[in-house]
Amino acid sequence: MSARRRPQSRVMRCIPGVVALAAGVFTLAACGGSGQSAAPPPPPPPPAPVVSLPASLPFGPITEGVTSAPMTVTLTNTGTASLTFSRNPSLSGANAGDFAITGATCSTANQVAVNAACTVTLTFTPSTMSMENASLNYADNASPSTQIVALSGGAASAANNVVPISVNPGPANENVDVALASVTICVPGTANCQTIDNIAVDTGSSGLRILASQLTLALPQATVGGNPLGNCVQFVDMSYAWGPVQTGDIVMAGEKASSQPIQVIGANGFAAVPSGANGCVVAGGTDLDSVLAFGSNGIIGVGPFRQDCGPACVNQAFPGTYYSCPNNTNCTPTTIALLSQLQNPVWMFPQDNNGVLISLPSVAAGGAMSVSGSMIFGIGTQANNVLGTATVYTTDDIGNFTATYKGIAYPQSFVDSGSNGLFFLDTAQSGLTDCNGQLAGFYCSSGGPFSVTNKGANGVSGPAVMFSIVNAQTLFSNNNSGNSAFSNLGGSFPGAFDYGLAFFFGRNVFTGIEGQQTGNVTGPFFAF
Amino acid sequence: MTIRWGILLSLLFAAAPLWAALGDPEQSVEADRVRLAGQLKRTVMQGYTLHEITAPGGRRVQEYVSPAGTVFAVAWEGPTMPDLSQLLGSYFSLFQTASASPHRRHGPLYVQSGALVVTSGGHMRDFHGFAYVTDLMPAGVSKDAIR
Repeated sequence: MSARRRPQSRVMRCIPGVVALAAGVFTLAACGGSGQSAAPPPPPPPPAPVVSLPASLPFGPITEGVTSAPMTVTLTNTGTASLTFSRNPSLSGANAGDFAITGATCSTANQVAVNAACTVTLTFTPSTMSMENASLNYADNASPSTQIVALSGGAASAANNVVPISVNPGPANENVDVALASVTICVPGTANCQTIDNIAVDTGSSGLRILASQLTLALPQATVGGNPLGNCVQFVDMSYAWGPVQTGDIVMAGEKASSQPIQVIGANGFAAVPSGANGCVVAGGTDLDSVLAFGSNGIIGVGPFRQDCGPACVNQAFPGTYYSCPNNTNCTPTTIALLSQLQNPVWMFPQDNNGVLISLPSVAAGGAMSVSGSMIFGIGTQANNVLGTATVYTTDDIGNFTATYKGIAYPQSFVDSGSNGLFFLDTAQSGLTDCNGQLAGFYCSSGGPFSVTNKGANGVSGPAVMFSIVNAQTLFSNNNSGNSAFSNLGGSFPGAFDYGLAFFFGRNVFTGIEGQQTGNVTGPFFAF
Repeated sequence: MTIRWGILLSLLFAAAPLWAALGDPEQSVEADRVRLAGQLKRTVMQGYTLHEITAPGGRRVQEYVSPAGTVFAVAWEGPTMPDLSQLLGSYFSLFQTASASPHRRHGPLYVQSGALVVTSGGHMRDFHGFAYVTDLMPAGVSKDAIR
């Protein structure tokens, strides 16, 4: 809203004999002294006050619950008569309660003389982490008789949506291509919080899972039907993790997801991991019940789905997901309401809640010891998370899109920062060779570039993505020993393209959450 | 009576292989359908018969049966990991030995050991994979048929 200023154009006319007007002095000389005839003089404009105000007053980044430094709005009377207020300046609008007038010389008690000014001083105390808006209203004898200054503020203006991430060897000192972040967990509704570092960032799952050994907070136990709730997570490499579901606030950057179910892996005193036909144990698999086994202090799932299991678990008790554990023993699979499931915390944030952008710089062909990047919440919600030239690939209802290589379509392809390499094709299709022994699962020859086109469930295809593979033995060799970040690490995976963390270097990779809107696109999607 | 009970028990246990496993006879497919409470669709393909079991909750198991009546390949997809010890049957121990891998690899499993090829991949809500035994593949059937 712009300041209101009455038009002040004055038409100069030659008015012989009239040398002075209320608002100025006109000389005959201005008319060349010709003395030629002129129209009768118009009546002079009546004296009137004119209000000059700033259109808006933005408050800078303010921490939630903290009161800003006072800011002052100055009103100047640029008119020709004194300004009087018909009522004191006041606040209105959606978030008026979070703004306060702490002082004002603009008031019904004071007139503002011509060319004089008065002030209103305000503070802002954000009660949410959303952008907040209100109006400062004046009522007086100017025309029009009301004026408004738009007030805004909040954590939003701070772009407080960035979490630093690091690709490094991790707490077990053996990770390759695992992105780690810090997460703050609080006892719900309190300032009793703990920040845990080295949490793996995973676009292939949803929900926060923490190793019990790293958690010092006592969080309340979640229940189902009055019984303690247990959660199981299974990974495609046959590893699994088990523990109680506890409730905590999840805080990252300026964002907070309140009272969220969190899996606490390997908690003492909780029911043993269920095994057998309806169990959590994967036959022949590894129990990830320690930092050493897990390779990190936990995992934060920021994938394309709101929940880990989702609607499937609402109606059907799936072994390998949620368990009811009466008396902390004899856990059996249970159905579970959507909001009692582990949530992708991003969609629970009050803002920047439609997805995440993971941004990692390029690394040299030989890799890097450690790489720093960002996990940025929201897509297209702030200047730092715009899609730009990225192509949006919507996924099917289980999170996959179609990759095509040499004319063959692989419709179960996906982006998964929790996979470390680029996993695709097999030796016959890629022309690469498989590693043996300790490096089994990786490619042990170099090749490429491989050119792959991708197509979303929405039918949208993007430009081909190109990547190369370097022999894992070379990457892990003494020459590069200690390196943990590689953009060219790969392995066999016939049947689909698994774009793991190696794919993320030098790219902006977006994960859009199901049901959340980004422009005119609804998640789930990946974009790059 | 004792003998009859014995026969009955052995019949019950005969149905106990919960999944048709690699190398098992075609008859074992029905046990899987019962176990999954699923719908069975049988399709005769070029060189083999495909048994597809579709179960509630998005679970699907495909079993590839050779003209000799042997399950030579299995494929699966669903929201949780299947029990590979049952799906792979007698091949499981070979798979387990070959899949023992260092911590540093996170991602899909791909195991090729002797005649056995197994892959297990995907992500939360979509676990999929397949296994086949090259020795048991009928002549003229490509591994690309197995997905």
